[in-house]
Amino acid sequence: MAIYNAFCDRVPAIVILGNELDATARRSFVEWTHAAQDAAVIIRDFTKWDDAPGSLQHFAESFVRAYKIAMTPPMGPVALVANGKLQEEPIEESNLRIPKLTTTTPPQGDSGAIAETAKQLVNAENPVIVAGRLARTPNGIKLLVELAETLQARSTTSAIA
Amino acid sequence: MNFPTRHPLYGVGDIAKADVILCLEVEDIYMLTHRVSSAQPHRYGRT
Repeated sequence: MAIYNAFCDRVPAIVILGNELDATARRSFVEWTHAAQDAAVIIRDFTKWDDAPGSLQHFAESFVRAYKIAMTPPMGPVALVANGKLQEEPIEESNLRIPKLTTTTPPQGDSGAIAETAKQLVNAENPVIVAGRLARTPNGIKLLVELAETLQARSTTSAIA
Repeated sequence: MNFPTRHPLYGVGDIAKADVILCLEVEDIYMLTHRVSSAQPHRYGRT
């Protein structure tokens, strides 16, 4: 439920799930009954992305990618499945490295469409703003209020906004 | 949803009287601009 709440509220989160895929490892009963072929399937409908790394280098690359995806607006939870072998066995891989993080520029509207929208709003006699999940930061809310006050646009909302 | 609820411009917008509606990340604009009754006859699956 916490992951679903993060999805609804657009909260970036990296969820790490423990799992054990190797049946021949004969893990204890408790571990085996809490393992799954596809551990992330139960939360896939309300996460942005998930992965099940097969090596430590893969884990490093997936973790950086997970952070990038979670932090790119609209933000949300992502999941990584950490297999038991990755967590417990001695490190045998050499030249392990953490990839460089590159951030993604958030998407924005076409400048021509924004100019046309601004023109319509300025010329409107009774503009109404329906504020959904627009503002992602406190400054965004401040700018939203500034826009409404400048236009003297009344706002409304609804359960589906 | 993200407009300050104590602001005087909050909650007083009437979509029916608006000449321009600015929807900012609204999930379902149809449901916002149309009235749908759950008492309406089912339109599908009946003869």
